[in-house]
Amino acid sequence: MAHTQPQAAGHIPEEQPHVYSVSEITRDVRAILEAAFDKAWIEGEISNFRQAASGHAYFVLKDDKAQIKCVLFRGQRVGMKFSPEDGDQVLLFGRVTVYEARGDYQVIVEAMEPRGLGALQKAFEQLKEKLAKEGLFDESRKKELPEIPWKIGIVTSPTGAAIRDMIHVIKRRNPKTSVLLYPALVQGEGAAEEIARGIKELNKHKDVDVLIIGRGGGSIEDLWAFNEEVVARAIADSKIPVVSAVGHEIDFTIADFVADLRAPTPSAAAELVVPKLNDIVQDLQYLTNQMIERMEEDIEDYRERLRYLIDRRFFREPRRILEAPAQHLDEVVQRLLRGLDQWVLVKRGSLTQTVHRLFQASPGKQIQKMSERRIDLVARLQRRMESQIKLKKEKLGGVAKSLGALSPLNVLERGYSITTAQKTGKAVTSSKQVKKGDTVRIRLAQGQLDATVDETID
Amino acid sequence: MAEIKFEKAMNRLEEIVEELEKGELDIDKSLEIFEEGIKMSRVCSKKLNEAEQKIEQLTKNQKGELVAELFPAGADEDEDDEDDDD
Repeated sequence: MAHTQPQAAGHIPEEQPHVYSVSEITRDVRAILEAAFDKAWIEGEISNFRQAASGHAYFVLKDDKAQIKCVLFRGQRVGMKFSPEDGDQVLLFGRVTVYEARGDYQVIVEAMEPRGLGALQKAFEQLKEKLAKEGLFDESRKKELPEIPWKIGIVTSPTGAAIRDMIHVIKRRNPKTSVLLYPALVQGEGAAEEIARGIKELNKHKDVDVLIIGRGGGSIEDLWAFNEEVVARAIADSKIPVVSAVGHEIDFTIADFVADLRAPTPSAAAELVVPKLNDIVQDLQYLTNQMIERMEEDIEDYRERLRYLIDRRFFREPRRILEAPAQHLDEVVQRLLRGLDQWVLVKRGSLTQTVHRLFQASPGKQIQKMSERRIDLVARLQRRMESQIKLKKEKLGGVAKSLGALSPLNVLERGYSITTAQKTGKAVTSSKQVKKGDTVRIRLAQGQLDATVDETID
Repeated sequence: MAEIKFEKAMNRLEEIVEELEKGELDIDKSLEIFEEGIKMSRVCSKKLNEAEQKIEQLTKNQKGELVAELFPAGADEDEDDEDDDD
């Protein structure tokens, strides 16, 4: 036993064993792994996510006991609806391979979606944040809705309940409001693009005053088109104000945030956008009435002032009146009166005419009613003016009478007298007009006196 | 002649009523804006009279151009209720 050849290490086989080079064994491992894990679904948490300048991204997927390296090439990344971050729970699909240069085994990611929060939810949050940062949701961007739209552009499905509901509401509220529908898919593949196209197309129609884009209620997947960036951008670019009307009371879509106004349902959108014809007619009626009544008052004020001026003028200048013969005064008064009549006639004429013209060509029921009221109003205005004119005439008759009181003869009644020089026959208004010894005739209220000047006193 | 927009005419009418209510204008100016107001009122009634409801949809014709056509679902609906939301 002492010479027994020691069994060298015991394990070396008789035959010369195969010695792998590092490359060789790595290649073999790679082949085995790739064959075994050609398509694998792996769930885990992302950590150490970093993106290289090339656009490829590298991260580690881990759970509480292990971790595995992952690569996300740029090409795969582009089509993804969300951007992965550290801490995200994800489900990914890929193949396992080995990066020979480093001896690392890793997963080449083909597709990936967030778990837990929900893939769509995550995508929604991210797009929302991105667009918010760009300012697309800013209040300052919101366009004001037209008070009275005559034509409403609608982007929705031509067969859904949404369009029926909206047309119903629009017809009920305002049978003068038109609709231009851009029929679009509102769910499924290509829906978002169609909706965006619709918004752009309707923007080419200059007579469209406001847009409603929407659809009836549905699951979050059904409504998804309204969460797509392309729709958000089309809304933001629209020159025409946009109302979003995605049938979902509680949840907001991205479209809701970008739109100038959000309505909870399509019918609600129609209610918000279309004012009742009745209200419009009433407003117009009220304003027109208000204006005519104001004008009536203005004219009245003016007449009042005119009357005052006439009165004042006569009484303020009694001297001129004294000099004028009574008939002449009458003429002046008549002329003024005629002038006033004329003026009122002209104004009343044009008022009646314009109001008449305004409501003549009005066949509608509403308008008819309005027109009757207006005619009534005009008649009232006329009556009022006529009675005013009558009053004015009477008043001016009175004025003439008071003027009579100021005529020279009446002055004499009050004890004054008029002296005329016999030589000239002219009224004597100054002591310098006569000399001592001149004869004068003094006219009294009753009779006259011939007298001789004894003395002139300056 | 450029057509005055309904809303603009309505707003101008409102302004005119306000101005007349303030009563700071002389009679000539009052009459001037009054006449303008009557014109605005006429523009509005005219529009109200002439406006006709059209329910249309855009459809592609043979050349592939989009044209407005009567929307069938909009035409046959009954005028069943006058005003039920007051």
